[in-house]
Amino acid sequence: MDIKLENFEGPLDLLIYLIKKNEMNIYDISIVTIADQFINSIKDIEKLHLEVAADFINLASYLVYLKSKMLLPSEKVDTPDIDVEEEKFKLGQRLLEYSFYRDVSTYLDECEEKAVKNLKRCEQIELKINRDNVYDAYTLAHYYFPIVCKEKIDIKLDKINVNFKDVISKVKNIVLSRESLLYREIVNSFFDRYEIAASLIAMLELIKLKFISALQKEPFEDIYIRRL
Amino acid sequence: MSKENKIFYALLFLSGKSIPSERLKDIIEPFDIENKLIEYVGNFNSLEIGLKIIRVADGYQMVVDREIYDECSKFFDLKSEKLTKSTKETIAIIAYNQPITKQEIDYIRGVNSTGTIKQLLDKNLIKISGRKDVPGRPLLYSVTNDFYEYFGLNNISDLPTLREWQELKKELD
Repeated sequence: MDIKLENFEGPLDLLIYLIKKNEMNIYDISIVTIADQFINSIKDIEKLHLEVAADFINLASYLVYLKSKMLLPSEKVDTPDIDVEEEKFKLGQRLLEYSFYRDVSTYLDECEEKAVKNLKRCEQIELKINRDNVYDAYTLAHYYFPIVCKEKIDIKLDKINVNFKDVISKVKNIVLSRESLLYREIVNSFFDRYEIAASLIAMLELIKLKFISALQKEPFEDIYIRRL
Repeated sequence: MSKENKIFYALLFLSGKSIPSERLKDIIEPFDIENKLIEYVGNFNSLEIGLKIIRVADGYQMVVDREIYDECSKFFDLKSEKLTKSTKETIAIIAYNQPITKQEIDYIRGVNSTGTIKQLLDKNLIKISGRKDVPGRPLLYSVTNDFYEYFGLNNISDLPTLREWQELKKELD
């Protein structure tokens, strides 16, 4: 038997070849015959790359293992981990699947043969847009780093010493003592800017609580406040 | 000739690659687009100007008429380097099972596929499409648009299914 291993894509390819040659069904192969022939054909495996050889040896050892399982008397069920018939079926499935892809690759050969003749432009035209606006790396760095490296400005927040409760009660007193008044009068009764700000919040709170109603004709006009 | 018709030809000329029908919707009014494209392609191909528009990779591509392939390839000294049997085997497995890990490919082929995968990646026929969510997080491979273009296929359904192949085998036996 003269078999050149280089002509096979791999151990499965060789196995399929042997099965076909012996006219066997892939689901019912004679492991003994096939294992012997397989090992026989990979005798001169030293000629192959180590990596490729390993793939062949891997399958060879598997076949020998199956063969030994079949030949040994199986009265003692000490290793129930392997069912030879099941393994044979699995191997058949694998071979079937592999030969499918092998045939598809032949089909792809035909596709390639045809499609290779579809000559096309292989590089897209690069349209240069706004060439003037393209900066070199140094210019970019020149603008970029000053922004990134800017010293951080610390923002300090002063604690405001405004007693909200006082402001609210003061506003409440002013408002409730009168039938109606202008917001300016409230503003004038405070000196501190924070207190004035707080007074506005106080007024809004009083509106919400329905103590008073407020009316402003236009933005920035004085606010007319009326007790409810 | 309508403006969008002209733009269609121009884009195919500029692109070189196949332009997916999906993308053409940006420039051609999507209403009845398939029929319009068939008409544009038919008109173009009947002009017989040495170029043809073909359907490939779920899109359209402008290529040289096969009639003048020999002369054109000779002029530019083009040599088509074909893929080896093992790379075709590998890409067939990837096309049917994508996304798939190298380990799974190796098991189906019974051979280490590191080299063929690298070749396919270099040729941009496959791409890394993620990592499998199992321990070790192995890379997953899928075919690219260039794969369909390279083999002149529209999509994966242009390839026979396992069942179809089995039926065919039975008939042959």
